[in-house]
Amino acid sequence: MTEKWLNIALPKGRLGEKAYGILEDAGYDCPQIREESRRLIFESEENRVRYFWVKPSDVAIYVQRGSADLGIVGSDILMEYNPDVYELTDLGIGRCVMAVAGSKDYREDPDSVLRVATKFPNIARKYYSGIGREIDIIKLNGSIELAPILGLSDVIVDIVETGKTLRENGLMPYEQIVPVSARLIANTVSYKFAYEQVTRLVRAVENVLRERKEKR
Amino acid sequence: MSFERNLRKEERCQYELRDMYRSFGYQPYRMGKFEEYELYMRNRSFLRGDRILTFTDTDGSLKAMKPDVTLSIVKNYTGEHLQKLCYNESVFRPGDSGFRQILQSGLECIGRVDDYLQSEVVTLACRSLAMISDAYLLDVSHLGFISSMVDALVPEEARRRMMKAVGQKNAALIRTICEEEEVNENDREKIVAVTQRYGSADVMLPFMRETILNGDMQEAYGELERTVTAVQAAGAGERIRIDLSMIDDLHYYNGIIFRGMVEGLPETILSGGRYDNLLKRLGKNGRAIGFAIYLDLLERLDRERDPYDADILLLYEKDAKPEEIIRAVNALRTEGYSVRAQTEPDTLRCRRTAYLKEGAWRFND
Repeated sequence: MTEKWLNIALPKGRLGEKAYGILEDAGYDCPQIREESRRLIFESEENRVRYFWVKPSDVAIYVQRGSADLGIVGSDILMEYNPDVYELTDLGIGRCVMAVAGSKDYREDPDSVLRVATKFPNIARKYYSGIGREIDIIKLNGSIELAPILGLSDVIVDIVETGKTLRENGLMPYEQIVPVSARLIANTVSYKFAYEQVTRLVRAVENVLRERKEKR
Repeated sequence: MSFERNLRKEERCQYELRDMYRSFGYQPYRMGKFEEYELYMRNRSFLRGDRILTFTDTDGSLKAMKPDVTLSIVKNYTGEHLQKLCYNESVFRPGDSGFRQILQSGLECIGRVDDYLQSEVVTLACRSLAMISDAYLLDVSHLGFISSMVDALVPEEARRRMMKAVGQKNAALIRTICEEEEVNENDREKIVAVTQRYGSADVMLPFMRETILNGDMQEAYGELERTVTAVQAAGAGERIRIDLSMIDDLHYYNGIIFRGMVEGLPETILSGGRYDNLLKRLGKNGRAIGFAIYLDLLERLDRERDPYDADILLLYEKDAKPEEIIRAVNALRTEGYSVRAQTEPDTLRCRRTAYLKEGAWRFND
């Protein structure tokens, strides 16, 4: 019997390219993907895989709804949207932290409601309810760093990679909420119907990760 | 003329399922009235969602549009005899864009549930799925197995996090929690394997035996093995798989749980299990097992859609007499055709077109 096609959703951008690099080394290569083009779907008949590029925050939606069997997604997205998917492996790439940041002269005032600007309202809400702090969430879609500078918020909750953007805008991280990295996720039903194929892929990916770690 | 051709897949399934359930002695149950909102509110986590559609009844009491059927059946259970019921009902649940009406079929077996009845319910779950598609899988587990294992390995505070990691098959997180709780390497790899391994009973039962840590797990294993073996003996076990990572709310469920999937649908279409704990919460004694099928999901399976709006488009002149038109329509209908009679073809797609002129009709081809 010929194997099923595995549909894999990759996040557009640097993270997706790194993730594809791991899958390529694991034997699931699809050479066309490296060619410059505006195409969104790439197939490898030989490896029975079909890759497609989607917006990073949409990967989990494609996987949960079964349009993709597997996907690569940051754990920040998983925490924020809590999709019903299997989280199979930590790829250890795209490492950063979810952190609270504010301007350098920011002082916490426990007497007032803390105004928090963020792209991740659920993560922020959960974190602050965990420490019993009353907050006012301001949901933004980008340029979060602007919020404290313009006085829109007291602090921001956002992902911090090197801290360069923060520093250039006169901000600094105060508390670390949780480390973030890319995960390989699977649709809960496809996982069952293609169990052997999926586990073979996961094992190959884990081998690549181990080899890379040993080389370092 | 058969009316079956007009039934949508989910409607046909409803009738076929009820027919099968009745042949095993399940009586149809109908929910004619509305329950108090409080019943659902008190058992919100059983419903896996906290939003319930409410309205004020004529007597001023707060009622709810049923989000579930099982709760009502259990509420009305008298606690004496064995009760075997099946139902087809619409339930109201919140979706991404507001409340939706969802077609649900299911059955409940309450009272003196023994090994036989338990295996009968699981067998019927398999047969129900087979009616929907040949390519189905029924995942079965025993909640006691994984929960006793987690209890044996990590303290109460870490339990919730661990159960969530188990449900996500998240090996990395399971290992992290084990490290934090100083679980030895051997047991750590055991629990990782228990959540990752998946397969038929022939493969999984021997594997399970190697991972048993205590008496509770042994007991859970024994019950799962008896049930699966009985379902296999009933000839329905071929597509049963064991997935020990399945979790459910222990406040309501206990023992055997199962979920059914059909290839081509991205989510679970059947879900069920033992819920003695729900009975206890509602102040009843006894055991209970049942399942529900979400038939509205069938809409998303590839369906053969009739490419035509009707067999025949009958076009008549504006001044045609109504009695002449109805005569022509009836003549065509008696021959088994569906007919759309109108003056303009609009954008209709029909197999053939006929014209009515001076009381007589003829095809244009």
